[in-house]
Amino acid sequence: MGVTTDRRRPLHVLLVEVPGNGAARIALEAAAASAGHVLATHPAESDVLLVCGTPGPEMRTVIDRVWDQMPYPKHRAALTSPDEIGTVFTTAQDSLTDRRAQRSAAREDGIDGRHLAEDGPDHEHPNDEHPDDTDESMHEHDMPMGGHDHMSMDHMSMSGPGGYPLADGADDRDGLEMDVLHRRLGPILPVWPAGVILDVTLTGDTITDASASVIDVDDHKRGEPQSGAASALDQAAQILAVAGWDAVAARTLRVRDLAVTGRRDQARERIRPLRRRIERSVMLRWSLRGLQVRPDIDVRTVLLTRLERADAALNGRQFEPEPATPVDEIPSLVKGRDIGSARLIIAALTVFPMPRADSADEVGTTRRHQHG
Amino acid sequence: MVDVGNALWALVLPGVVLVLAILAASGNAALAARDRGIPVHVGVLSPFRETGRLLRQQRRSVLGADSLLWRIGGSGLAVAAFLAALAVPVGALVPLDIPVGVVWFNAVDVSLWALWWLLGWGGNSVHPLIGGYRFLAQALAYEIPLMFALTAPAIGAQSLRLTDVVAAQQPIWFALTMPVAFIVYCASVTAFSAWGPFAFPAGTDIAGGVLGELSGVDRLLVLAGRWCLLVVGAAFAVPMFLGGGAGPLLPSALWVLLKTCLLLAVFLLLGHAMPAIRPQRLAELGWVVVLPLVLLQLLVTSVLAVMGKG
Repeated sequence: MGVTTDRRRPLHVLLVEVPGNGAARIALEAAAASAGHVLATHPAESDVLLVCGTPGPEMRTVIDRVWDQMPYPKHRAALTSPDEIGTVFTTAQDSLTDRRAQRSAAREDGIDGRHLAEDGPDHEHPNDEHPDDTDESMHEHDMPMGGHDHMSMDHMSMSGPGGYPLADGADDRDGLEMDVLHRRLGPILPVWPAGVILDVTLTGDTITDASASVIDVDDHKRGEPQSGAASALDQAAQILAVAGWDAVAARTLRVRDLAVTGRRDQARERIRPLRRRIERSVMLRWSLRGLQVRPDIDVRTVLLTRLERADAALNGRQFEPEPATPVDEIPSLVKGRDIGSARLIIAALTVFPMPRADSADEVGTTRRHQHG
Repeated sequence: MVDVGNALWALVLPGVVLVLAILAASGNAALAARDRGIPVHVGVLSPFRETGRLLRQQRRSVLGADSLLWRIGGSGLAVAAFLAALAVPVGALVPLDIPVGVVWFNAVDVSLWALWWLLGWGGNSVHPLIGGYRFLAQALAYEIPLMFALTAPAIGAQSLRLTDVVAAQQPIWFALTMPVAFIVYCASVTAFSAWGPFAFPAGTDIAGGVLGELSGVDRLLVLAGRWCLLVVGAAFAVPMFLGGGAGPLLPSALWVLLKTCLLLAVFLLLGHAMPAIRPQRLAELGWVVVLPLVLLQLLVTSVLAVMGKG
């Protein structure tokens, strides 16, 4: 089993950022990349779940649910201080290669451990030992990125077990009847503003209705607006990643990591060519055309401005921070868009985790408000 | 004698395709590592390590998934690639030397519509489903231009048999006489592999899309199948556009291999340099720009063919 127990094996890490821990996430991402680890986009491909910060009660529930959806062998850890970054990956590798412990954990979950290293049949969780709610969270991979309520099941299968209703149909923008699906986006989703939850109604891939909220809104301290080169580059890379330009997103993240690990000279050398490449890309301009964040500003402008800010910060110049968008303004920006366009617009926002009317009482009432 | 050779070649062919697929995956990972500032050797080794990781990983099941169709979609990609590879002449060997070899490739590529869609739909999950929608939207944009691009060499050679198409490219390759068809073909290959600038069906914005809910062996099969498709797409371009095994000094089978590898390298480098094209933009491009161009190419090719015969 030399291949399958190789300790130097790169890990696929699912990073979860608790709101207000952006700097910790960036540091962790930089450490992961320099050790050759991969950031996972989905629980199914992950073997390590890393939580940056101390989650509130709602967030904990969501994290547990995602943990249940990850395949064995798996390892989870929470990072509360930057000192732990040094050891977290080696600990994870040791834990993943401990076959005995992984097997017994799997067996406790009701999975036959013998199948761990073999081509086994599909692993169905036995239904008997879990009460309904837990059981559903084990099974409900249909909503891998967060919670869901029973009224909005998005099953389409004719043979959907558990008595879930079939999806309703409705006309999409082209007049084709498509399944209407209710789906919660966030808070654990790749390249997504920390802690934001967007409940959407999808017709095909078009968002026909949406409402936004922030998880554990009463619990966590208001995240300080991020500033500095690293943060601006991180935000630029988010747009690039959602736009599907992985190579240049990776280069942007590399410059970010250089800036965050104190190699500012190298970062300064690289930022100009990077900016030029992104500015000159005709394909990117064409691909991002018509995606307005505000009437006067589109996604591409936000991307270029973020790079400009990063450049200024690396060269010690002052710059205005990006204006923040209150979370309850997201629905009006994404309604009527396909999900890809909506993701690009959201990636171009700095989300302020409070509604515009900013007092604790109103927060409680606007959280569940449907934006019609 | 040739029959025995063909039978043996058909048996080792999947292995050859897999080796090339691993090479392509390694090359791609090395390019990605260079972008991210990771030592390149980590990238080169990553396909092997990823294989080991996925073989050890538990397979997942999803509540309400149509497992049969889902698994057919996942395992079918590599099978489709092997089937298409059978029609590629390598030296004197062509396991599937049928009079309609070009149509055979087209049939396999159309089956990919079903396979990618089943992969997205079968998992009973929103993001993979959207990935499936995206693939279909993408396929609508590339399929018609691809069909016409495949028609061009067949018209040039006055035959749908691949060995005839190869023979017709003496002394000038079809890549030179029908460049538009060649470029459209290459773009379509990356599109039906859902890779590079056409990777939106598996986009980060929809949490991996069609790849989303997959783990373990199922994921490995899909990733391997995707690379095999890219390899076979490159290999099929050799008899269609790059003169088959024609070349100095080396035996013709080696030339086929060499040309395949070179074209794969071009795919990797170009695919790496370009941003992804969003499916709605792609439809615009495919129908408004590419389709008229490829039809014009076909017209020119047809006129030349008629004049050549006349």
